Amino acid sequence: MAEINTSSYTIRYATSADVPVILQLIQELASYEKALHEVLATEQSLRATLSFPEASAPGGFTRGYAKTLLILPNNTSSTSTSSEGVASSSTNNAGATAAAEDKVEDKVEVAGMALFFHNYSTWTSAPGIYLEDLFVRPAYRGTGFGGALIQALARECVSLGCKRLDWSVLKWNEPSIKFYEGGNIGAKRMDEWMGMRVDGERLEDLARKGLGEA
Amino acid sequence: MASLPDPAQPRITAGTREDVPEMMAMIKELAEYENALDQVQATEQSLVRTLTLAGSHGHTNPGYAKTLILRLPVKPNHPDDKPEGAAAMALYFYNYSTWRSKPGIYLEDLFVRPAYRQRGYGRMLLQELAREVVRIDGGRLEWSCLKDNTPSLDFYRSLGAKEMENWVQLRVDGRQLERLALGKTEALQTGARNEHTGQVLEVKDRPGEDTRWISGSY
Repeated sequence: MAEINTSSYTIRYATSADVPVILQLIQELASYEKALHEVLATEQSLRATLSFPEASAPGGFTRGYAKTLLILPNNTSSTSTSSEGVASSSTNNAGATAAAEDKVEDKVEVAGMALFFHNYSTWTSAPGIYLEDLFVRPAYRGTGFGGALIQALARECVSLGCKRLDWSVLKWNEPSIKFYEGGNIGAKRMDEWMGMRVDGERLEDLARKGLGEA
Repeated sequence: MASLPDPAQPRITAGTREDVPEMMAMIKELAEYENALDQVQATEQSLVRTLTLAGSHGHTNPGYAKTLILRLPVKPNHPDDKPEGAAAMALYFYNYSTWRSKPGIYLEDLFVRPAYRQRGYGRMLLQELAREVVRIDGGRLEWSCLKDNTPSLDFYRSLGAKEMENWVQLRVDGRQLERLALGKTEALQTGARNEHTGQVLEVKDRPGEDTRWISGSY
């Protein structure tokens, strides 16, 4: 399971009540990349398109195109003098239980998020996870929260029988690539592949072509 | 959309349970073409279990990906064509763009049987997928292509696709995925005890490998 509660952080799925925070995080990430004007998402559009945990829904989640994990710092831990969890992403001691349901999150600021959806591998006919957005607020950087979120997704992969954990990174972002390829995560670069995209007017053209033609 | 399909034209439909045997055959043919038939672990059963299929009674079973099947015309022009034979398929799933909060389609597999190439069937499937993106109020149609596959790249460019040159994809799979899921702390590597269950997490060295194999329940 992705959700976890350690002495230094809690990871849990975002609910629809967290949508305002999700939008803030999206805007902060865009602002950081000097592209805030490109964010067209609103609280309403996020609520309409994301998937949230719901016990009575099939699969335990509402219908939606992507799920969101949030990471929150646990500053009020009783083991506050422990040095664990400072730099490493692997701070979760084996057997840690899922996040408590009391509203700790109301008083604690969200430190970051991972937004993802399921992809699919035909030859193994198995789902995988595609990480679309990973963002840790600057104030919480350097404490292993990014790695913890990636690790949470890896746990989710194993528990769901997913065979792959994929994401994309800008080619010139060497520090990030080094981190992802490093021993704690161990990602490999799919260098031989080129991503292709049709969007905007070209997408509309492609959709219009061929109607009524041979 | 036309109310009656033209019997001289191929038809594209959402894959149903009845199409699964043909899908399985095409998946194997594609793998064989890429000299990778031994990598196909999929079976008809696993496809039924994991794909979203259009039901004969109008309902779909939820799965992780959808398919489109292109079938030859009811009244084929080519004498060797089998009427309504399966000629091509596309396998895809929905992705998501956060900044626009819009879904899109990621095309995972596109395959046209060799006997039916050069008829525009690949283009037709891509056009149908573009229409599906518009239908779901989506923003993008995406897929991947091998960088050295120049003919395919040229074809895709002719359809209006652009290459995402600034991005590289990363992947964690296999044993590395398991290691990442279990955590790589010193405690785990030296055989720590699960503090809740009391079970010892074993660390086994496999001869000839320089990575450690970690087992034990979490």
